[in-house]
Amino acid sequence: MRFVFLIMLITTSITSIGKAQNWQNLISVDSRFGYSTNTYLNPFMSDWNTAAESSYNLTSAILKSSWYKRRNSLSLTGGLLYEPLLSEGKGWKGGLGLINYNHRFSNSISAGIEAGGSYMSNSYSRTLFWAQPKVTAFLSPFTLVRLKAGSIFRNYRNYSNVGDESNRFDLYALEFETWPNYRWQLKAGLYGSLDTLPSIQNGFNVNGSVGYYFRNGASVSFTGNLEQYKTQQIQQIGGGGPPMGFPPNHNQQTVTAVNTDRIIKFSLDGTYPLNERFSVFGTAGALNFNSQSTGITENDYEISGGIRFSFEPRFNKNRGVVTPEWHQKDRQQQINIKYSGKGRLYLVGDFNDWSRTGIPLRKQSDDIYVAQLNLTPGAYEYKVLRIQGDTQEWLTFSDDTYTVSDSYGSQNAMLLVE
Amino acid sequence: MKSYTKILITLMIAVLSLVSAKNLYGQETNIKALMKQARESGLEQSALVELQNRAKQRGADNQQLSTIIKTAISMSKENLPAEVAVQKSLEGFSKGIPADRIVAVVKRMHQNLGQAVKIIDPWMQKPTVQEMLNRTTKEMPQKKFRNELAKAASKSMMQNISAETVKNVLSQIGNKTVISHTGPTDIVAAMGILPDLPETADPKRSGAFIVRALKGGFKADALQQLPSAIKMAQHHSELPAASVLEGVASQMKKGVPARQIIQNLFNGKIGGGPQGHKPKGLDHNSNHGNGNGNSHGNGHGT
Repeated sequence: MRFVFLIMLITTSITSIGKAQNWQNLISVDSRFGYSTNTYLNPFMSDWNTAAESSYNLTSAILKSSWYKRRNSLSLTGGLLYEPLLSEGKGWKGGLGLINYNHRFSNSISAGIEAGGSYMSNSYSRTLFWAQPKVTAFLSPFTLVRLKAGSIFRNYRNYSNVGDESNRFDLYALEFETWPNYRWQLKAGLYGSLDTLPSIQNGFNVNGSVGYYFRNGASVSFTGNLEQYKTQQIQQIGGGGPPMGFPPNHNQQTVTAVNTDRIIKFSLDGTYPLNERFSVFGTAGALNFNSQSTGITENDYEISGGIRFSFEPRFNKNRGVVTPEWHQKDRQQQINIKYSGKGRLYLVGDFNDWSRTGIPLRKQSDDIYVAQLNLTPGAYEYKVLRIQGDTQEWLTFSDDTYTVSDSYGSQNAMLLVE
Repeated sequence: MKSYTKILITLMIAVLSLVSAKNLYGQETNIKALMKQARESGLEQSALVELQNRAKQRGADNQQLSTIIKTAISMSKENLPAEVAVQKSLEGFSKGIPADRIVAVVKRMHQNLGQAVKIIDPWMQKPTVQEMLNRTTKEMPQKKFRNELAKAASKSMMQNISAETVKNVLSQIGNKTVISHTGPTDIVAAMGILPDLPETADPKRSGAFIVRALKGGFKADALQQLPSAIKMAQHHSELPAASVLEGVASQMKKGVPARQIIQNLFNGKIGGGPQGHKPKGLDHNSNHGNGNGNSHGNGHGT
């Protein structure tokens, strides 16, 4: 039921946000196969389970919609995931949604919030919600430090036969990123629970990565990660009688034992673009778990590879947004406009004294309107007018069209004729 | 009401009617004279007639129309591209803009064009610029180039680019290393995009960026794509404009072809700085998992 609701929510979001103007959309379909000895190393999972050693597939379809205006940027991400563990014959399925808002106060300071939720379900289900306000300081154009602090709400259902279990974690994150020379990327991060402060050593996750980006868009990165968690166990030693009995047994001793667990992880990631829409990628990772008090040591690894298809859909082509294309043909300038709405189109601009009954655009084929002009070299501003019955409407130009301010509060497209 | 009162009122109405008719006639005569003067100063007859008709249709009064024509005549006398004032007014009336707003825009345009040509005319006398103009006469005649450049520069000034920045940019474009492989259309396009680049703390930085683009072989069409491509890259990377400009400048410096740079920008790659096109959660680092999931601080359960 929850899964169906999630699909409905994501579909509605995709339809309404994606269709809105001034949004840029990206759809990525990602499929990878891999083998891991611990689901903690699986993408999207991060649950410790060495019993689930298995080959796996992960297929995801994710839409990212981004909006940007002046100093504000907002991105919404939503998607569906399917991750079958092949040896078990069972699969995890679910979805995620993310909101990321950022406001730039100056060239060196920005602030915003990251929030999101995810739901994964198999024999048990896990639901996460989180919200983290963040402040980013740019120490130089390509060096940033980011501080985040917020809460994560987690709910498990039917996990280890426990009906419902909910927790809340208050977390902080301190991130650093720098690009020393446009090819190399260095990142470092410190993450932990606010409860542990100021004793960071009681629980933290620190990571560092170095990445290299090639000119063709390929990239390779190496990441190292250390996690440490200290837990205190109170043990009763000696004495007799019922625990918590009355009167208290003074021979009984209370001992606090501190247990330290450490996980060291390494991973190597690479991406290679095949063309504009397809890219292949691969990951190899390993971890070492060590529990100081019990002496348990464990090694796990993961290897995976896959292919990604991504494209930018244009949902708004029927909403009065046009992208004029100009070509020189027989010393004349030819304009082609793709438009599927109703009505007649006219070209109105400097070249016809801005007359509304100016240059009609001829419908050449389905959705393609054409006009030819004989223009001398120079710069020409223009707009496209749609007339249907008594209705006259200036069509909006897409973000890809070069436009200039018309000084009256609107935008004109501009054509430069050589 | 007594009969002499009626006569008095009738007389007053008659006098008032005569006065207003005379005023109207006077204004009509004034417009006709201005139209003649405008024609004589080189403005196109058909455009002027169209302006008169359109102003009438849109309810502009003769005072507003005469201000527009007078401004155009003044511009012509000052050797400014006066047809721009007529075109801007025609555009305004066509778009249904109120006449007083059109008058204000035309007046501001006059002022900015005047400032622009004061910078452009001496610049055009530079030997390197003259050399370029002689080389490219077929592409765009000198007079046309001067007017187009003045229009582009005045547009920049209307959008708060200072005359000093315009002067600085032109001065750098005039250097032999830049202008030797640049044409008039490229320079007009470069000046035109100056106010469209993302907001930076220092407008000089935008100017230097444009000069580097010309030096890097950007032609008019690629230049026109730059503002939206940069905005797209800024959007993807969430970096401040200054960083994006610096990244692109670095690509230009390294000799990456203009087309490739534009493509990179649209794809969110600024030649350094975070790449776009990677929805969160799809990065391959498994420790990132689903964002801020279990890997941060809650240990591991079995």
